[in-house]
Amino acid sequence: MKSNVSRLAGALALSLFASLAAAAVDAPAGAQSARVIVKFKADSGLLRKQAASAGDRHAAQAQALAARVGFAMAAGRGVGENTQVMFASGMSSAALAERLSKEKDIEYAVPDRRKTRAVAASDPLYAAGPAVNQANLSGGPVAGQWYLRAPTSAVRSAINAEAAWDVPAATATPVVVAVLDTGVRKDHPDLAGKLLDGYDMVGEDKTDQGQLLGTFLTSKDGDGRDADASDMGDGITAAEANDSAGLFYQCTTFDSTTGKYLEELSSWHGTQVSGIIGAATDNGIGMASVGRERVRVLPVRVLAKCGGWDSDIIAGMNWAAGVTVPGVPDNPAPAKVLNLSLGGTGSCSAAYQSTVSALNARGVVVVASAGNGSGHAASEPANCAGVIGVAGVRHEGDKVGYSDIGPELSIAAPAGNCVNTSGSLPCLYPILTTANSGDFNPVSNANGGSIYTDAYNATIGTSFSAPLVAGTAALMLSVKPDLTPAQIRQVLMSTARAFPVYIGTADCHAPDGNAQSQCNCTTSTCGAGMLDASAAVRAAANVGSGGGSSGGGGGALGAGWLAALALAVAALGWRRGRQGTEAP
Amino acid sequence: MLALARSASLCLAALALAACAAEPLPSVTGMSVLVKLAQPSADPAIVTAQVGAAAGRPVRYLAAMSEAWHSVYLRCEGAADCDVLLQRLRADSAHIAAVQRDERKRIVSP
Repeated sequence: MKSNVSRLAGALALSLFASLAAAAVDAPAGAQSARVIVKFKADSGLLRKQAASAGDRHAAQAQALAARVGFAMAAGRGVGENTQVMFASGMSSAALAERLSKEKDIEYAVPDRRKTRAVAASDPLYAAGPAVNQANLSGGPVAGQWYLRAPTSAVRSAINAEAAWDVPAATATPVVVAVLDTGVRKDHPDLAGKLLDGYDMVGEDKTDQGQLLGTFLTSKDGDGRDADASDMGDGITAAEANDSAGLFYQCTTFDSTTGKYLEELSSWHGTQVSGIIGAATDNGIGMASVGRERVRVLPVRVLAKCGGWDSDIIAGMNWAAGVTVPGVPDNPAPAKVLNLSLGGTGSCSAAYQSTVSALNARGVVVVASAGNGSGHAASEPANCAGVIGVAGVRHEGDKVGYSDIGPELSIAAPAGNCVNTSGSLPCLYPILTTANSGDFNPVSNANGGSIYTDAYNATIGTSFSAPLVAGTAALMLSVKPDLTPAQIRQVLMSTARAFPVYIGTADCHAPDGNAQSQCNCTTSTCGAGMLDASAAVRAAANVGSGGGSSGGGGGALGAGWLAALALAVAALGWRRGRQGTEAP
Repeated sequence: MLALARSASLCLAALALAACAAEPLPSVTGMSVLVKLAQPSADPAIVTAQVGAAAGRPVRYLAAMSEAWHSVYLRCEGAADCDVLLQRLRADSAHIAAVQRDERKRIVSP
C-alpha cells in the first residue's frame, strides 16, 4: 500500500514535472533557480524508503518536504544515503538551503554549486612547441602556449584563458575583433576560417611632408584604399633603408658600427596578432587562441613598410567600428573590440582622443599596446582616455625590460621573454603564434609559407600583450554582450591579479625620459595588475545580475519555478554530455 | 650711436646668416595635416575650400578619416612657415574644430 502511494505520488510528480517543463517555454527570462543538496536525518519521518525506485523515493521525499515547508519543490537526483538534490523557484540557493536547514528532519542543506573543469585546448602546439633542434635552431618553445594556461608559482603571469573558456557563451554569434595592423595572411590554415573580409586603408605613397607620389611602394598592392586586407609584407631591404632619396630612408635600425641602416625582414605582425586573438582552436592543428570559436577577426590594414599614418589608422578605427568613412563602403560587420598593437611617441592627440571617445560611446572597446621603448612613457594611442592600454610583463610577472609604462595604462599581460639571452639558445617564453615564412614577400600556404613562431623565431613585444586583453574582452562580451567599454575596463582591472614583488629588483617608477628595464610593476606604472582572463570572464557574466538572488520566499507554482524546472530538465541531459560539469 | 647700433645689428644678422648657411637648407616643403571640420562634410571640395580659406593657400585633399576628420596637404616653405599655417588653421575655430600634423605610427620591435 505504501509502495503504491509512493508510486502514485511519483507518477503525479513526474506528470506535473513534464507539464510544467513544457509550460516553462513561456516563463520569463531571469527566473531564479534554487538548487540545494539536502540530507535527511536517519530517523526522519519524511524518508520514503519503501519506494519502488530511487527516482520515486526522491520525488516522494521532495513532495513531503515541500508540504512541510509550504512551498513547491522538485526532486533532483540522489547524492548518497538519505541525500538528494532539490529545486525550488523564487529564491536563491543560499536562501533555500538556509530555510531547509531549520527543519528538524534535515541534517544539512547546502547550495549545490557549480564546479567546472578546465577546457584545455587540443591543438598540438598548446601544450608544447615542436622539439627544440639546437643544430638547426628550430622548434620550441618547450612551454608551448604557456601564456594561456593557469598560472603557476613559476609562470605567474599566465592569463588562465583555459578556465575562462569554460564559462558558457550567452550567444552563438561570434564577437568581431578588429585587428588594425599590417593586414593578414588569409591562407594560414589556423586563420582562414576565422577571418572577415576587412579593408586596406593604406593609400598611395607620400613623403614625410605629405606629398603624394602616385606610386604604391609602401602598400605593395598597386592601389590605394581597397577591400583586400592581405599583408603583402613590410620588410625593407638594406638598399632601401640607406637610399637617402627613397621612401624608406632611415626606416630601420641604425647600425653604429657600420654607419648603415639595417635590413628589416617582414614582420607578418597582423598575422601574429590575429592568431593570438582568433586562431581556430580544437581543430587538431597548430595553436589555440584566446577567443577560440567565439570571435571573428576583422583585419584592417593600416600599417605597411615603415609603419602607417595617423590618417589611415584613424580611418581604419572608424571603419572597423561601423562609422562611415567617406569614399569607403560601410563595414558590414562592425567590430565590438579594436586591437591596436602600434604606437608613436607623444601625448594623446585630439584626433585619437575624439575618435576613441566616439567609438566608446558606440560601445566599442579599444585596446592598445604600451610600446617597446624600455620604460619610457606609454605611446599614443595607449595613453588616450578610454583606451585599455596594456603593459608587458615577463613570465614571472615583473615588467619585461622593453615594455613602456605609465599611469594611463589599465592592465599588464605577458609579452614574451626569453631568459636565455644568447641567440643560439632557445627563447623560453615567447608568445607562440601564426606567421609567414617569407623574408620580404609572402610565401603561400601551398608552398609551406604558413608557419608558427617558435623559440628561435620568437614573438615578443607589447604588441602581443594587447591581443591577449582584446581576446579576453571578446570572451567577456560573449558571456555578457551588453557590457559597455567602461564596464569591460573596470572588470578587467578589478579582477587582475596583484603584481609580484621580487626582493632585489627595483620598483618601476614614473617615466622620466630615461630607459627603465626589468622592474617590479606597480599599479601606477603597469596598470591595475596582471590579466586574469578567467576571473574577468566570470565577473563579466555577473555584471548587472543583481548578485544572483531575488530574495523572498515564494510558495506558488510561479513562472520562476517553471523556468527552474525547465533548466533542470535541460541540465540533466547537458550534464551527462560534459563529464561532471553541473547545470546552470 | 644709432649708426653703431645699426652696424652691430647688421653684423649680428650677417653672423646669423653665416651660421645658417652652415646648416642644411630647410627641406620642409609641405605637410600633411589632419583637420576636424566644425561642420562635418563628406565632400572633398568643401573640405579643401574651408581649409584653403583658413590657411590662405591652396590645399590638396588626401583622404577621409570620417565625415568630420580629413587629411589634407598644405604647401609650406620650412618649419617656421608650416607652423604659421597651423596657427592660422587653429585660429579659424568657426570652421576648423581641430588640426594637427599627420604623424607616423610604427610597430616597434623590442
